[in-house]
Amino acid sequence: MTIDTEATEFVTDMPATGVTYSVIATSSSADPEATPRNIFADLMAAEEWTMIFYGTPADMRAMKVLENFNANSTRASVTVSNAAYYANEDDEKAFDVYIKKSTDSLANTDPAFSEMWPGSYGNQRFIGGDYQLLVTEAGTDMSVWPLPPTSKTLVDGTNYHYVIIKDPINGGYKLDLIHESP
Amino acid sequence: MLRLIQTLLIALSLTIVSGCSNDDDSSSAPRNGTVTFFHNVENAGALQLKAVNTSARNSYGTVDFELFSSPIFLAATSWGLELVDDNDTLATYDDETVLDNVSFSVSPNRSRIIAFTGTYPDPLSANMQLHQLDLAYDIDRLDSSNDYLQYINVSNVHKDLATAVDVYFVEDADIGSFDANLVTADISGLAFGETSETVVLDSFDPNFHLIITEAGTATEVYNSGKKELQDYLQQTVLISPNHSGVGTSDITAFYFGNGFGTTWQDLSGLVGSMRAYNGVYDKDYGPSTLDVSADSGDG
Repeated sequence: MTIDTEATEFVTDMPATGVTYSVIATSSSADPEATPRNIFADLMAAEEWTMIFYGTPADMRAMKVLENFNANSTRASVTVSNAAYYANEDDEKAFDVYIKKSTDSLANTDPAFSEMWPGSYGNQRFIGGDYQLLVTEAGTDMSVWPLPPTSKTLVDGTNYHYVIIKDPINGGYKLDLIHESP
Repeated sequence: MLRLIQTLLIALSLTIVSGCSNDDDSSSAPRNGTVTFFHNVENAGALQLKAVNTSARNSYGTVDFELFSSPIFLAATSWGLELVDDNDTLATYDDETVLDNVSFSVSPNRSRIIAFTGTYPDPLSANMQLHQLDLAYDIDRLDSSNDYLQYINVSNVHKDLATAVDVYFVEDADIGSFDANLVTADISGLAFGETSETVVLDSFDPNFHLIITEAGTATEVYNSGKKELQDYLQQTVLISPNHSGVGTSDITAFYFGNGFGTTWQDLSGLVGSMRAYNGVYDKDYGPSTLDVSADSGDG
């Protein structure tokens, strides 16, 4: 399957009783240094995996997320995956992710996900409503937001999956909603 | 003729590097170990995770019953893990109810599973440090030449396991003539919260069945069906109460390998699904597409 930039494709009905899949991504980039990226996924049960490819065509990274879909019709489920690309591992930074109701004070809100390092992910449930998603460098002053704030109306019984990725247009990083389903 | 699996019970000592972590200069290597939480608390619904130490109280989201969390990267120091009731969670956390907490240390290049089991609102915890030599996320296979070496532990998180059991890993080719002489791992007497020594299975075939019998007998209480073990440096099977209603046994198993855990029930004919996302940015050459293929080893 061919996937456009910041787009998602979905494959179903994959035999899943202890089958290992080799997932290979090849970029169409004209970059002569572009290199395919391989990641393995073990389907052990009726699971759903999200394979996130990020980085650059010459230095492509991959992470996998075992989706944890919401079984509670009175909550919205939000997954956040950190696919922020850093060319050098020593430069990597962790993020704190705040998800708060638009009417709530940030001062009274703990991060939904703390110290998210590249390659990690988390899932949290929220009562439906209007929310803000705010991402800051872990442990820093909350007056500085390296990612643009995102507003979203979360609907009970719905699953949302956001990914932190490099922003090729504006520099820095951004949140991208890659999946939303009841 | 049965081909016995070459088995080495190597005494990779359970080198739990506890109590010495505060001398580490963790500031320069802030994420050098991981902890994964396994939610096995009956009737609890989703539970939240908080990792606390003297300077932080961090949130790592929620996990549903019989699922594993994402591996959580933590500094090599002493931590506490709080298990928080998600039933009354709002956007603020002032009134949250801490159901249980456990203290543990994070060691460089080690991972840990903390399993909470029991029944809501009184969970029990089992805390296992695992032998992991490499936190390999992207390159998650070893060069294994021509045969397969599987390193695997067995952990008991079944609080009510009334009698000792024997644990067998049997090659798929041998399963039709399974007998008790094919013992490849014996975990009789493994108490709640304990993890066996590492078993090394050396085989030309990665497909095994995990069979659990009543100790000293051939009476099966669990059979995983055919499962493909991986050549990860770390694989663990967790013996758990069977809450699923599938089968008649009180015992089931979960598998944890390379940072991810899943059920290991014998459920044939299941299908899964996969989604792929193109988050690759191409500053110099502009937007590019990704061609993604997913092939099983069977071709």
